[in-house]
Amino acid sequence: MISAEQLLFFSLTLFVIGVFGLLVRRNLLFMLISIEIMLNAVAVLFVAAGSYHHNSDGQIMYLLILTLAASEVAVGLGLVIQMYRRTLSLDVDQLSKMHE
Amino acid sequence: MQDQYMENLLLTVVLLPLFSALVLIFAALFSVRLTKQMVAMLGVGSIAVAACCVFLIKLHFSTVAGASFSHSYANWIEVGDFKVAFGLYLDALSLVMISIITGVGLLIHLYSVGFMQKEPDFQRFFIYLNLFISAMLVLVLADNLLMLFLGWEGVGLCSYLLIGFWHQKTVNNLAANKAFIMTRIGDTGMAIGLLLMFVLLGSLDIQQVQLKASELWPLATESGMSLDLVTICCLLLLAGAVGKSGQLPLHSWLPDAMAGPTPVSALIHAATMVTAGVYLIARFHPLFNLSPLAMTLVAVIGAITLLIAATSALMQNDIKRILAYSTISQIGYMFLALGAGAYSAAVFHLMTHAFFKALLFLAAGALIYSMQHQHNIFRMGGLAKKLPFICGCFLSGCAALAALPLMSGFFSKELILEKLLEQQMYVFWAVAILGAFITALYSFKLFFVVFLGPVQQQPDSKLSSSMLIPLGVLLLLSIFGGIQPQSLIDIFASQHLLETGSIETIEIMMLFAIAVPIIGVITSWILFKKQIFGSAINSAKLRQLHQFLYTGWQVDWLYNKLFTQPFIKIARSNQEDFIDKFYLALMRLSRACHGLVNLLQNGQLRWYSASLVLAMLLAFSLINF
Repeated sequence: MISAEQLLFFSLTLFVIGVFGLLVRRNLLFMLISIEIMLNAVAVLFVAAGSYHHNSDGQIMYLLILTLAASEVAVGLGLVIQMYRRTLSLDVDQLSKMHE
Repeated sequence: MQDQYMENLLLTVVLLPLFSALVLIFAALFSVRLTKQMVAMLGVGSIAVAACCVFLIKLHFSTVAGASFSHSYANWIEVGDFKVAFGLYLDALSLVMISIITGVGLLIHLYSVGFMQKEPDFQRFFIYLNLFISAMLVLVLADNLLMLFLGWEGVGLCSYLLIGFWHQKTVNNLAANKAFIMTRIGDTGMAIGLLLMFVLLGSLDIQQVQLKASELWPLATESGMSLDLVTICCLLLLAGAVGKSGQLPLHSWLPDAMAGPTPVSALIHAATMVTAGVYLIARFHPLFNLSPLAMTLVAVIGAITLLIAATSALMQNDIKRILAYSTISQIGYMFLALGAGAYSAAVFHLMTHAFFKALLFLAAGALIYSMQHQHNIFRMGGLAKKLPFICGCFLSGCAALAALPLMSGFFSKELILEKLLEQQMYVFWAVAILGAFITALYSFKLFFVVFLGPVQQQPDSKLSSSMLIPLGVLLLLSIFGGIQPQSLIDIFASQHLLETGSIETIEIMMLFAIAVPIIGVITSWILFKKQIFGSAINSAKLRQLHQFLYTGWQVDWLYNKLFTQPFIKIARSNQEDFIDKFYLALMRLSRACHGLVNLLQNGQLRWYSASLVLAMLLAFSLINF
């Protein structure tokens, strides 16, 4: 039986990896993946908390997050492909047009 | 029935000049071209009809002592208990005033038709003149303080417009500004005085104000010269009168006001507007009677002004400036009489002064007209044979001004001197006598230099009959106009004069007073024969004195040093707007903050996400610790 602390630590590690990936990577695709990792970290935390409290709500939450992540990726990837087709680049620093 | 008749006549008198001014204004606005003849018909005709109405009023006005007539035509302002009406008030004093205004005004209008014939802005001139007459009539006929102030400011405005009539020249505009600003100083005081009287006495009606004032403040003979409320009211009114009438602290605008056309100088700056101050004090005489301090101050101002102005007049070259200073000096006499409580004498002198000074100004205008705009009297000379009629006008005008026996000015000035003696104001009497001597000296200096002696310049233009008729009428008036209206004595009779000492000494002094102007004329003749007038002055000290008097006792220089330059200095030092500094700093601070915050908005996605994460971390650490 894996203890709750270990699960918590695992989830935190996943989340931090996601955050660092988001901050460090310049490629839009990898940033999207990092966000997915962060989502999964949260999902793991839900399931772990559910089993710790002997409650199935956590698993239901996980299904919800799974759906959310799937639709998010569908939209996000579509945008990324559009972006790439238009600019032939996925570097966010170069793509930055918000300031002008 | 009788009342209705008077009501209508009185209203007609006030509204006719206004009506013709409005017609002329609207004609100009809608660019309806009127010929000069039509403008003259309208401008002069309205005043002529008004003068006829005044004559009818005179016939119908009851001759009972102290009679008055008042009627309120419409409401002007009505807020709660506060009510101001368009009301007119007629008594012997305002009757004399409207007679002068419409009578002398009519003559001067008629004269202007000839004088301004070549002027392209003929219509504008008559608009201003008619507007002036109506404002002046409102001023003297007003039955409440607000109407009086309306007229008061109206004449000030017209005076400004007419002084600057030839506005193409900067000098004229400066003179107009000076006149406007300096009278405004007095008017501010007067406005405060009017408000103060309203607050203290709770009424704007002139008659009620005076009634309440004498109830509220019983005659302060016991307390003597104290600065009580009534004195403050009087002094504030006096400030307005001083500004308008060109008395001592605020007199220096009047000589400069001669920049306007000569008929304007005759009408506004000699006969009517400048005497509004005298009218004001005479109108409020019950109030002034309550305050010995204010009365003394009026007399002191009059005495000092008459001396300063007379000595300044002695040294002028410009014929109009001589007359301007002499106007100031004569109004000084009126103030002196007012200060002595001889109101009827003051108004009487106002009347005769209006006649002879209008005559002098119009004759001077005719002289200038026929001498190609020559103002300097030393460039003229020997004109008696060339212009005998104008010479006659000047002779009688100067004689009346110098108060030679049996001229109109003689009766009024002698009356003032007599009243001064009766009031035992011997110092003032001596000043007045000295002033009379100098008056005779300068008026006949003017006459001798211009009309006798060697011929210097030939007159060329012929005078039209519209200029000659008014001169003739005023000539007769200034010789025979010395009949004091009896009704005037009656309305001011409330205060009985003290009976004083031996009659004989007074008689001797009166004879002396009669002799003084004659001595003045003889002195003037001797000085003229010795060719002292106009000759170069050798002694440096005398030259300085001459310069000092020529500049009117250096008053302009003094005011320039005392008020204008410090004001300009303050304005300069505050050019950057000291208060704005604070707001500019505020602006800079917010702009700097904006720059700092703006750095965060750099559009970098990773920067945003990093700041998000950092903020989250910060928030968590704050919650946990």
